[in-house]
Amino acid sequence: MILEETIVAISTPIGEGAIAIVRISGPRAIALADKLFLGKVSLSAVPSHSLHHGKIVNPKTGALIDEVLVSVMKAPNTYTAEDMVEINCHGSILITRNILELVLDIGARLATPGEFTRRAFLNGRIDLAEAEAVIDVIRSKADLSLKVALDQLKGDLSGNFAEIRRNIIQALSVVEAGLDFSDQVSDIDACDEVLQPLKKAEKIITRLLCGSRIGQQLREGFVVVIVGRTNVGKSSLFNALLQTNRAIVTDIPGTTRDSISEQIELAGIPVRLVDTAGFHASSGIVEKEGIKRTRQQIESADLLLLMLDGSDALRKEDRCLLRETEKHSRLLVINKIDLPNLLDIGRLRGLPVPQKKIRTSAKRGDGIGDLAKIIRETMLNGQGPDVSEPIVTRVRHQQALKTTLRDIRRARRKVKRGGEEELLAVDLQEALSTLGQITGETCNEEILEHIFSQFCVGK
Amino acid sequence: MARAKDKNNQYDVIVVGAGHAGCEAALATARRGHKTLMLTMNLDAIAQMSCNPAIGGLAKGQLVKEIDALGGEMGKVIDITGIQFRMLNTGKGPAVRALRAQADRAQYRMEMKRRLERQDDLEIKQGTVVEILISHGRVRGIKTQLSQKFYSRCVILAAGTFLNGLIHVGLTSFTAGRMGEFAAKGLSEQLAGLGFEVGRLKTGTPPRVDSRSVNLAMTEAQNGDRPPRPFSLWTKKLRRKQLPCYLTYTNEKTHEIITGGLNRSPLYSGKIVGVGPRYCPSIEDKVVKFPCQRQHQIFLEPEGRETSEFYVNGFATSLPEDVQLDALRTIPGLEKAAVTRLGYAIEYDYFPPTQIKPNLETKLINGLFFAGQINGTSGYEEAAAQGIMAGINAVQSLRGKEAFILDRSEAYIGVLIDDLVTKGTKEPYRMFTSQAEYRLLLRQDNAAARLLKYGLRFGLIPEELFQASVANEAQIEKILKALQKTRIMPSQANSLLERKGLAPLKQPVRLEQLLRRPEISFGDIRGMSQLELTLTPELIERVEVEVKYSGYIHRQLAQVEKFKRLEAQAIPEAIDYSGLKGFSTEAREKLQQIRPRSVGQAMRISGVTPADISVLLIHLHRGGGDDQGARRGREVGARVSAGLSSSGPAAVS
Repeated sequence: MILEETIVAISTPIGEGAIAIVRISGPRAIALADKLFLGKVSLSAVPSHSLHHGKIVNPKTGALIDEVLVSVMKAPNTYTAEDMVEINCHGSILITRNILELVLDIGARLATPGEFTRRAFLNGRIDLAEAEAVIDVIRSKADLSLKVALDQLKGDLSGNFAEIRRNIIQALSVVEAGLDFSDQVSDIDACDEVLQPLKKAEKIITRLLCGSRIGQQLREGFVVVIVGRTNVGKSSLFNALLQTNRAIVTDIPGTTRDSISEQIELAGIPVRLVDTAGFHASSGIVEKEGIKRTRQQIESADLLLLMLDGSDALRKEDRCLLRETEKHSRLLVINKIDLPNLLDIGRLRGLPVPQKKIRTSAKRGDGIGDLAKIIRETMLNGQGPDVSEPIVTRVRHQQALKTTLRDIRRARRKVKRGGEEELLAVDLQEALSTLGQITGETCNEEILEHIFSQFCVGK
Repeated sequence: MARAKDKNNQYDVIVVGAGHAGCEAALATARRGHKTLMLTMNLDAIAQMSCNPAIGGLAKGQLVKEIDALGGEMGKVIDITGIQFRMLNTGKGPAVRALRAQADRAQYRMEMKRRLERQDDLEIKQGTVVEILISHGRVRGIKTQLSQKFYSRCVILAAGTFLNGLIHVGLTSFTAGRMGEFAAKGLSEQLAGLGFEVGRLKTGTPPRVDSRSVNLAMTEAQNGDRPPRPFSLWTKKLRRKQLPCYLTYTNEKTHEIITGGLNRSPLYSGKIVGVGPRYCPSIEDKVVKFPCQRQHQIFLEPEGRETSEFYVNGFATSLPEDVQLDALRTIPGLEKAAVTRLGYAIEYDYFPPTQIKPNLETKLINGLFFAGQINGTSGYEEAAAQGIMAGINAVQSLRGKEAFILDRSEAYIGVLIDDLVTKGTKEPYRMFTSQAEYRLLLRQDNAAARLLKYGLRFGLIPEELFQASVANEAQIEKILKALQKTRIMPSQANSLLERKGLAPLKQPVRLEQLLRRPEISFGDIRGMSQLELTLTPELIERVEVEVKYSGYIHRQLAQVEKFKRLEAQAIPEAIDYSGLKGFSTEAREKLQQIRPRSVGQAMRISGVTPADISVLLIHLHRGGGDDQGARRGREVGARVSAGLSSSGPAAVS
């Protein structure tokens, strides 16, 4: 076997079908899969080109991830001409990504664009005449994933990555200036000048990984909150969505489960569905508490399902709610269409009303399927039918952030101890190179630029 | 009338220029047994230090040690002619320590000239080269101003700042190669006509003052190390008495005068078009760019033992004479300074170095090599490094042997040349330790272990020196093994740890683990080992480095392995990117221009993405032709792609 690294990728469009395939190729493909696989047999012992039923289990925690079918194909008669394993799991984004992450954690690396095909070619599986086609595949996949990566890097996340990077560069410049110009850079309070930016960077990363919307989405999926005044049928809708969709059982920490919040999967997308207390205009102290909580839940939502009662006239609370949630991403659900329609849509004019609306009967189940679809579309927000790229990109971001955090912490320990500046520099350079793999930026020249603009060095 | 070719004007190699690059180049080719001619415009300015009278410094000190290990001359000459030696960064880790020496400028020149003159197979002549003789894309020799023609199969051009040099002092400017020396005309024009791209750079130098006019009581003396350590492996001991340098500072009055003179500065009036080095700013630059800094360091450095001139380091300037003088005289100690030479700026032609191959041969003309400042570098050490590499490679080329290329994991020299040929440079390029990604491996203390083998291979290093180094390495290995084996009981170590204020041991550890702690030195634990060897301070230092860095050294070695895999994947010289599909436009242009020799080098070109590299790999393996060739190609490609995605550049999913 020539290639030393084992690669992994999700090779089906995620969230589309009922089944997704996580594909592993390389010399350790079978050994790695075996570490996660719990079945009647050990994958290392099975014959080539055989299919096995079992479970994927997190080897660290012992938690069950999914029930799967695993096919084992040994070199050389495989697509890449290397040992390959395909894990057929349920087509849920959460499950697929979980399995992908596990395989990465135990030693594989993410495949680059078109890498399976490239390996197939390099290993002689594809005719030389097909090389042109291989180039096209690489080119188009690279362009697509670059586009997705850039899309995701826009806005909030991009700002955060840039900020992390800026802080590390700031710290590294001080360290490097001290190394390359020690005879000229007068003794700055290097300790503090290095520590401060590192602390900032660490704070941002920790927030991104744990507290932020992105971190939350990574762990729990999108948050969909149902709001409306009392008796519009929120709980019925909540239950209807729960019943028609599979509840998710995962080992992901932070998944909260209580009577008003459930982790479910809507058309392949992990969603935390939240029911809220009825929105009430006049209220006692207990209800005030309830409304305060509802407001918090509205704030944390990726999407609001704003419900109106189709069998009743528009009320003060409805208008109030429509105005109050104007800035949020939301969907208008007109419920109780099984009853005579008394809601005068004309009365909504002049109020901030969501663009998308749907009519349902939570009681009878009318429109629930369509609602799920619309939720899915809204959440993917123009990212196209193939959501695997964004998901994989997220995994990549998360891994990069984790590695960066590790390096920053190493560096910080050294700063506190004092000395070892040249090793500290290695930690920070590695952190930058990890970030560079996400943002595509290299930094060598930038460090010098930074030094020259900050310190008056040179004789 | 040009003479006909006869034995007297036939050489294997002609070196044009006798600066730091030219000297190393000529010595290398002559020592390898090839008849060499060195031409200089002025025989009394061989190995002239145009700017500061010092060799070494951070990153540059490493370069000198590397040149020395390859068999070069710079280290030996400075050891003999140095007047003050200091190890820099002693407060920091060993990977970033470096030696710097003040030189006796005149002695350095004479000592180098003496060595050149005693070298067999080397002729030195005074003469100004005005034309490179070329036919059929291959160099044939050179022609001088006096129409003398000399013939050779290789020419190493090391012309320094002399090509169309233009000196500025205030708003006055005139052509010159250095102050008091002619500029070289004609060569740039000829090369431009042949299709070479010519750029313009600028550098500067400070005034010199008469030390008898300096009030040293107002300054701070800075002494050399005691005992001083030499650069060269050949030097047993530095014997001569060291001289001090003196530190003083500018002040707000100085800055005021400088600001007042800016309207007559060639730099700020737009007269100078060449790009100057950011790391070597003129005093006017410092004042303008850092207005909040109330003082700047000024070092007064003796120019030699036999002269009373001081070099005013930190005060490079091209301001007019009256401003230079007035500003200098505001500095404590220089109140009555007599200026012997004025500071000046010089603009000169250079050839953006993406036009040369990693063996320093030009891509356009076979047998024509460029070395030193004409490649856009600055500094004696950077020039000397290129000089010896060009010399070695000219001989390789004469003998039809493989080019000698040091890679980025082997030497600062490798980093320097790879940066030049892969990225080019828009300002005078200087070596910094931060440019080396494997800095922890490229230390001055292991330069011999890294490079002596090459010096030996090319006949520039004698067998004994190499064997001594091998024995040294074996001894280090032995000590490291002993440290790994010896187990220490808590009772043995705890009194030491307590003394150092460290937590006591609860379980036995290996000596190596103990030494790995930053607070513990080899001296602390030596008693606990059963080593009965006489150890030099250098050896002890090496052992400490190997132990204390070991975790990081292992990490870097793993990276180096991947790096080497990519460097080993060669790209055929004849590849034509314009006819290959799948590249982005930018990548295609850059690849076509820079013509990387390996996949690794291609990856370092800005604008070439991982997807472009994938495409390149495919093209490389299609070219195989017959089945066997194709298979071989695939195997190499597979090895390479294994190292590809994890070795750094942005990998897209």
